[in-house]
Amino acid sequence: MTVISWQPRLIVAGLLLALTYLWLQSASPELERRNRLQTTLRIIELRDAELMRDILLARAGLLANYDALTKAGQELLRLSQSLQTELQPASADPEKQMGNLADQLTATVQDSLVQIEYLKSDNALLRNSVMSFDEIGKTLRNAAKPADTAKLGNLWRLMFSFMDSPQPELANEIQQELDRLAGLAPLTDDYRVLIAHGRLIIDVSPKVDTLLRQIIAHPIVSRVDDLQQALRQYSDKVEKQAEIYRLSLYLVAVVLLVYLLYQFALLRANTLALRRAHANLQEETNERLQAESWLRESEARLRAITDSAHEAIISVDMQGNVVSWNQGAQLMFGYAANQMLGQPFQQLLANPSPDFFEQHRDEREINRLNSPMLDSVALRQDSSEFPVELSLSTWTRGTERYLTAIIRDISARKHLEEVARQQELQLIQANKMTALGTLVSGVAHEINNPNQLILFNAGLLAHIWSDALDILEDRYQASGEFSLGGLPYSEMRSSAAVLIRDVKDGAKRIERIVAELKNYARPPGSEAQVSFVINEVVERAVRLLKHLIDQKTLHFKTDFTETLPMLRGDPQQVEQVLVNLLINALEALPDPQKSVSVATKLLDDGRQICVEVRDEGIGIATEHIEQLCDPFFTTKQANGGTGLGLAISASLLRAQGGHLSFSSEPGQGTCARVIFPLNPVPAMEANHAM
Amino acid sequence: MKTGFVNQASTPVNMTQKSIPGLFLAVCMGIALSVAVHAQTPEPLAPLPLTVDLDAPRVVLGQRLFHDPKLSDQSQRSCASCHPLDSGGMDGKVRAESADGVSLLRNTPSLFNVSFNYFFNWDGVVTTLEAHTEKVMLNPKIMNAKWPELIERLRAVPDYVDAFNRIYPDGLTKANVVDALSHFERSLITPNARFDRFLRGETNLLDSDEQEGYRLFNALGCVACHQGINLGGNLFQKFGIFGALQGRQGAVDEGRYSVTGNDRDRGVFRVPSLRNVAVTAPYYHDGRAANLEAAVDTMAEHQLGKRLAAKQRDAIVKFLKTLTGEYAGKALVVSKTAKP
Repeated sequence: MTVISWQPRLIVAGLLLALTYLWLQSASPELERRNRLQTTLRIIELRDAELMRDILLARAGLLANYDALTKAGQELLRLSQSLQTELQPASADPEKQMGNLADQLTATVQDSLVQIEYLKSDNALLRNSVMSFDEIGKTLRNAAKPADTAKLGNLWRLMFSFMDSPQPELANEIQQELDRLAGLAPLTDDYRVLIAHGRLIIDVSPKVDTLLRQIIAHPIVSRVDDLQQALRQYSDKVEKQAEIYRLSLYLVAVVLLVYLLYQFALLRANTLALRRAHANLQEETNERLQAESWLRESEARLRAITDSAHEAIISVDMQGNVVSWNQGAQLMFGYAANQMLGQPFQQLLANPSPDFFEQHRDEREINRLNSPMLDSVALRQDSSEFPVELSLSTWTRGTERYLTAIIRDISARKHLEEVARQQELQLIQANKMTALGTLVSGVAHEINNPNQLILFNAGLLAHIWSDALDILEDRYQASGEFSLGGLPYSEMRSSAAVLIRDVKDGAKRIERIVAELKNYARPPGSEAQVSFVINEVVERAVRLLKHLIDQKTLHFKTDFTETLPMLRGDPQQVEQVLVNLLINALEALPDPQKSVSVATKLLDDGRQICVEVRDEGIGIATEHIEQLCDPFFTTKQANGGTGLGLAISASLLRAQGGHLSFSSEPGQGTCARVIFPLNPVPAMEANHAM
Repeated sequence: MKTGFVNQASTPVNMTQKSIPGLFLAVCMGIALSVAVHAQTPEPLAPLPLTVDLDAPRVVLGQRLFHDPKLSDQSQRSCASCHPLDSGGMDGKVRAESADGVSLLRNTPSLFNVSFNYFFNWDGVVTTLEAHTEKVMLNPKIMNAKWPELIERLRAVPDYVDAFNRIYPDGLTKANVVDALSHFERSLITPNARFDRFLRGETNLLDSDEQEGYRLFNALGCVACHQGINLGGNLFQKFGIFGALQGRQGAVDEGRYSVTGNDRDRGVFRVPSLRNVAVTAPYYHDGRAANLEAAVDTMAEHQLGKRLAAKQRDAIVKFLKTLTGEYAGKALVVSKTAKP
């Protein structure tokens, strides 16, 4: 394009230059100068004419003063000198000729002026002398003697003729006459003046006429004519040249015009093409803009998606530096994007292995790993660890390869999984308990039936014994001592009833234990909510564990607060909790000298009821207190502890609206409290029950 | 060309516009008309114009230069040193004092009305006021200025540089210094002489003696040379036509011969202007006439070939005294201090 653009410019510039040159030549200063010279020549002619006129007037005595004459002469000289100066730096032949002519003109004018000056002087003298001669002559003639008059008359005649036509002969005659006059003595002043002026006249008058002739003969006019002729020739030549230049000027102008038209047509075609190209380009630009806006939109969408994701989406380059960091990552790790961009990713891992990504460098490796999830442990900004699951993928931009990790915080899921496992275990335990209950029911039934037989028979046996005692007394009375069952009757008489009663009592105890076993093993939830008295529940639990209590401690105390309000709930479950607590308390005792006490009391201004189980056992380590109710937390693993007891207890109590609390001094003992909130409903229930 | 001529009708001026073919006819007609006009009003003398049209700033600048001694070599003389304007525009000495004290100079002519002269200096060596101004400044016997130094001296004065820059596009140059000075010299006119007013129609302004003097001035032939607006200054004449004068110095002043080299110009001098003649004594190129009476007597005897009666001479002197004009509104007077 540039190659095309300067060429026409050069051509146009060249044409314009040629045009300017031709124009300057066609209207060259030569023409102007010629006109100026012409004008100057005319003025010189005029001035010369004026000068000649004034000279003639002066000679005729009609010119009043010489101001105008002098001025005209000086003006003429100045003009011809200016002409000379103007034509001086001539180099070309015609101009040189003109310069020579101007030089000649100036010389002629100067000569002429010199002679004019002389003429002025002489003319002034002549006029004065003529005037004086005339005047004195008149005076003398009037006053002269007759003899002189004739002589004077002759002189006068001669002078008159001389003035008319100054012949040398006349001059000689006058000279002789004047000489004769001068010879006369004595001579008056008047005569002397007359003679002097007469001599001056005959001397100056021819000179004046000669000067006048010379001045008139000075070829000023012919010089001017010559100059004009030369100028005309010169100007004809210039004009001819200018004509040629003018013709070329037209030609070049036409060429320029044609070229401009051609360029214009070319320009028009180019413009149209350009306009089309512009339209296409605009269309393309619009499309590109559209595409760009779509792209931006999709990018924004992608970013919105990325940012809205809970997962951390992180991209790193092959050097392991983070290049992208989404909102999720910020929330997950605690680092803002500007903190992390460009930083090495290793600081995000709890166990950074320098070759973590190294091993995934290989694309195949990555592809293989694209689907499976990796589990790892990540590090937050506050250095806390949390489990993550990450999926890796690679992508390339240009020659750079990048790795993008989508990281999911799975600590919540892990927690849920833990909870689910616990629930499962609880369920298993509950099932076990249900099975146990069923088993216990069955066993109890099996025990109960013979036990009823024992009870019945023991009663019967007591009756029998009392009946038989009379007989036996009689016999004893009768026969004295005899053996009965290996024992002497006298001893048997008192103890047999007791033995029977013991049998009965034992059987009754079996009956009760079995009944309570049945109660304990009864499946939870099957019991409707009932109102109960807490003290009874406690007593039942204590009774249930009587054997264990007696075995473990020698100092078991109960301290019941009477007139406690009734509680509402499942007394069986409460009993189960208390049994658990009592077992724990008893098992914590190092030796039987240590005591265990159970107390019931009102707490918090009567809004809560508390059952307190206090022991003097080994206590619980402080760090374990919080974990006591966690399922499967146990310190008695070796002794077959399941870690479920307190967990179940706590969950049962929660179902009742109560809760458990522990306080412990290691080595001093533990106080476990079961706390039930009181509300008005149980009271009404209690009233209703009454 | 545009200024026309003092006493001639406007016909020749109009004629200049015509083309060459009509030129001769026009010239002939012009001559004829002029003859007719002059025949009716032959008037050898004319009054000075009352004012001259000049560029005021140039005149002011020229005036300053005119009085500035910096224009001379040693900064000792200004133009006004020899042409004091308060005493007739000349120094009143027999001969001008030369700068070197050795050279013999001529009598200093008055500068008043100098612009109405057609020849300058006693020998008419130059014909323009500008040439005359420069010539006098550069004359080693008079001001002895050298252009480069002179321009340098003037450039040292910021006022001059400013003033020249204001007036002339090309500032302080040789030509402009001369131009300013010439402008000022052209402004030195002395109108309103009593004789001028008489010529302008106040015929009773001259008394009978003075009018008789004017008549004799014409009748005796003085006017043959002392004519024109300046009563002289426009032609040359031999000093001593009727009998040579007694030379007072050994060296002979050849006068115009030194300019033209023509034999007939030996002892020829410019006819001086008679304006303000009463206040410009002494007289002649060599200052030999100390007063008007002596000058008039000498003129009559040696130039006109006549001896004047005392009465005639006194009348002429009286007439000559009416030629004293006014400069800057004040009549010129003889300087009391200026003595030969």
